[in-house]
Amino acid sequence: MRFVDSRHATSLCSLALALLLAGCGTTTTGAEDEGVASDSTTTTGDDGATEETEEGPSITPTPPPTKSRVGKRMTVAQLRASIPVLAGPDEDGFPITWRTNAGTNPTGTQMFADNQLGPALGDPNYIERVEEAAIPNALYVKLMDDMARQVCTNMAEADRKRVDTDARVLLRDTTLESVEPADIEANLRYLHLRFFGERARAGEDPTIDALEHLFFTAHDEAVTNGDQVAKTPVLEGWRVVCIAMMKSPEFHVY
Amino acid sequence: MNRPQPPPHVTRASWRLVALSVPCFAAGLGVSTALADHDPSAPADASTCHLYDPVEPEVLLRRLSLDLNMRAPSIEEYEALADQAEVPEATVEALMQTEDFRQWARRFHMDLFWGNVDNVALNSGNVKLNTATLAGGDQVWKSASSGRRKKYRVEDTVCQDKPQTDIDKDYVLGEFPECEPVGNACLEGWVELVPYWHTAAQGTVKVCAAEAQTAAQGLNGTSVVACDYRGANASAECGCGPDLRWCYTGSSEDTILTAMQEQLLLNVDQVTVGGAPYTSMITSTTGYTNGTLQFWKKHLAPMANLTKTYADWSEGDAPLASEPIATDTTWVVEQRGPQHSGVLTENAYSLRFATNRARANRFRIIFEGQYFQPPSIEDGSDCDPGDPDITERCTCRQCHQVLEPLAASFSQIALAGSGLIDNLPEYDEDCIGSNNIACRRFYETQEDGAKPGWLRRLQYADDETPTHAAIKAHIEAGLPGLTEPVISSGTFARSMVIHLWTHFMGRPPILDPLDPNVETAQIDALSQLLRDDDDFRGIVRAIVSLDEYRRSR
Repeated sequence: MRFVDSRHATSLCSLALALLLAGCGTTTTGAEDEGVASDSTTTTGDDGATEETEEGPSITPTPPPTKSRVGKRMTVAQLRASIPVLAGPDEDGFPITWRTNAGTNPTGTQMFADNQLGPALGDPNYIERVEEAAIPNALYVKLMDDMARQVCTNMAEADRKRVDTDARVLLRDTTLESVEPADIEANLRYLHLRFFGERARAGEDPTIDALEHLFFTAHDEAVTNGDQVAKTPVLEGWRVVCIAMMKSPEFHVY
Repeated sequence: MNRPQPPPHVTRASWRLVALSVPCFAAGLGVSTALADHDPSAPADASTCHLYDPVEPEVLLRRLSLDLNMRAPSIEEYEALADQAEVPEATVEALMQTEDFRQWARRFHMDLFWGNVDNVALNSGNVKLNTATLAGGDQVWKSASSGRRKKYRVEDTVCQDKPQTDIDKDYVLGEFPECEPVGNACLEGWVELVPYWHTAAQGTVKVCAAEAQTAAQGLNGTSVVACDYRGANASAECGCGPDLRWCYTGSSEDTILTAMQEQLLLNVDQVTVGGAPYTSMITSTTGYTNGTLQFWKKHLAPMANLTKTYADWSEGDAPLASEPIATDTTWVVEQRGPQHSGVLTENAYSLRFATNRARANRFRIIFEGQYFQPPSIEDGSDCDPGDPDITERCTCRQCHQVLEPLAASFSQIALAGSGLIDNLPEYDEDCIGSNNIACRRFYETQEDGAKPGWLRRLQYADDETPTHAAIKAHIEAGLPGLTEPVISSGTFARSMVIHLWTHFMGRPPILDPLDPNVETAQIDALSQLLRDDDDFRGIVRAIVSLDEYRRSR
């Protein structure tokens, strides 16, 4: 069986993953990123003055500020503590997190625990593993895919069951039925802040546009083909958006 | 309903690269485009470069929360910043006052100390109990040692499933038990008692009567042995003592090892959130203990075979309670002797780094920022490749001339142990050529060895070479001789600043003077701040306030 989130969430994230793998941990300056070193038509002498080249006049380079902090991948400990904050509680008030059982049963062992997948993800125990590489390797990406699917499914289901609509987490700024673009955009902007810790740009924002497209694609697949995990097409749309966001580099790298 | 057209599959990260490229390219060449303040609420403006802007408040909050509290902020915390141009300093302060901050500080220091000792064996099976299932289905505690079971019952078996009073109606708990012949064995019954690892409320357990003996002395052949000291397992008249206090169980050992890690981390708490000077982490004689550790030190540690962990109480240790309660997990402050030095003499550090070389090497990595690397070429001139003195042996000497004096600073602590051994006689003639286990553990027994009969830690403590003289000086000075110069020279502060910088920035500082982005000045300033204030929170605050931390790139 083909799940809609597999195709769409992965297509959104594939380029992002590549960027993550390329960018995480690098310390290059912005100027280097932009190709100044290779494309520049000026050279700098020992005294710092700029020499004239055949291509154009002399310009004095502005030295870049010193290098800054580099992006870091969240550690297992950070994920363990953050997922319940981001996913909120289930309908009974228990924190949603990645557990050994697929449901929201709070008695299930946390998958980030030492006796589950914590070691596989690199969580140090200071005996065999004394430092956490915190790199986005293939195993990490695979397991985070698993985590996102379970957590987002449970978030969607918890919102569906919630009596208090103000307490919704995944669909806070929309309704369980709405497919109005304005509602979708408002909720996406809310989720952008919740998951990424960043306000989407006012007006056009390519990330919001992409996620909006993802929502409608997943929703339409559910309506047309019944291709859904969540209970309704709208919830399926939000579940798939949630998975895409939780798999995104912007979620894992800070 | 107007649905949006599918956009190109582009992430925010890649979009930013596109949006930033033209103006930043220009900025890098010094064209008039200024690095303007970035307003996240405004539409993307292609005329400015935002590479070096401070990040938006929400982004900084996420960064701070994950770095200082190990968790992402809640939506409420983000939304509280709606009208803020920057993260208020009060928010940063609040993040440093949380329980999560304490936990982060613990984790940061665990990354340095590797203070997990869960894999340490405090003793072998000869003073350990485990359970067996009796014929009637109940569990009974019996010795985990096959040899000791044979000593009690002739054969390697367990007691009978009946009360000892069924065999001897006058039996008094703790006495040497009568037994009944069963095949080739002679089997006693069981008794019931409250073991040390239970509270009274947890009740009694069944124990084979031989293991439950409480005599103070027993016989090993014609020799008298003390039942509350190592070697007692050689006597059938020695049991596990009152409340089984002279025997470990698997879970009691785990409890003790877990307490050791907590003991080390309480020292960390004291300097990170407890207000003590940061340097006292490696100098303080104040420590922490609880009933579990006191009980272990008083009753269980002396039972350990000398081929195992050595942790006997010494006069240099804090006094022990007269009757420590193993189930009392309340932590109390203890005052240790001058031989002690912060976490460096805590059980977890000494057991995690079981040799003096390992202890010194880890110290050097953490607090001096120095790593040993094997020499790239063998050193074969003017040296003997078989020299027993590793500070003189070819190639080895290149590192060990530095390491051995540092290791000597730790030499008052037992190897593969955490007990002080500074009260042992420096020289024991009887140990020369001896096969005695205590001699082999602490003394040079080989007649052709260096200084036979001397404590191993003193073997090279002389004036024969400059390295030997340094070893001697370090032994005499003890750990203060190691820690005080590192602190007074600023090496401690600089090393810890570099560790913290690396943690927060995700990369080490650039200290290459030829690098145009060299960050020596920042590290110097931060190091001076830590030297002046000796305040962990203060240095954390300073680093997360730096532009380097708060910029996009």
